[in-house]
Amino acid sequence: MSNGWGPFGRWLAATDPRLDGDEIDPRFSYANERTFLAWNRTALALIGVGLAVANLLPPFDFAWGRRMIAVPLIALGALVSVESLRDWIANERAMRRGQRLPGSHLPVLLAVVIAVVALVALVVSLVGATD
Amino acid sequence: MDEDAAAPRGDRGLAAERTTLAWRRSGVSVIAVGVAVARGVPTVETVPSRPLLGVVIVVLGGLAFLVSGRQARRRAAAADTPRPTAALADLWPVCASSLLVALGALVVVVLTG
Repeated sequence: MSNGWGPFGRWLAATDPRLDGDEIDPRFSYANERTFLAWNRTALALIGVGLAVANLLPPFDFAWGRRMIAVPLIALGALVSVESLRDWIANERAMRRGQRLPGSHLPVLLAVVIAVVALVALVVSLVGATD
Repeated sequence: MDEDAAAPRGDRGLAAERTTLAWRRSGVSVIAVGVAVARGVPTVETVPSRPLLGVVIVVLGGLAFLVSGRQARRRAAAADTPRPTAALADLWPVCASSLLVALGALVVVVLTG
């Protein structure tokens, strides 16, 4: 199976979960694909919000105030993107093997990190506002 | 047992169309983020961050979706379905471009924040 990417392409082809198990109803694969895209849009939104916080909020009294909020959001965006691809692979493989779908860590990860960032933002807002 | 169950490549309703629309939504989202960054991020003296990062985001996102679309078209040409399901080769460019955008954003935030 060649896809024009050389050794990397061969590795991709060998790792593709579609090589596993049996053919499934393509509607399930489409749903999995749409879920991956939705998570990546979420990742982009997190990155965008991080940039907005870092550049559009007024500065706080202490250095790194805005960055304490922005950096975790952007890092979370990167993590969500990677984890969404792993979830796609795991779900596709499970469906083809007729196994139960594995749980995703993304909802918990998102909730925890956003809650922590919200707390940090609250503290920074109360302690570090210039007026 | 009806014929659809025995022939999974039969009528799939509108799932394929919904998936195509999801790809387009994602592409538009990338472009929107790139334009917002190009317009909204302040310029840093040592790094021409604002327009450059915005352009980089738009280009990366566009490239990711072009690469993914190319893979999908190659498979469609080889299959007898109008929109075959995604392969890993179709999805990794999207993930890679998000990671590169995050990296660029982190650099800008550390320099401008």
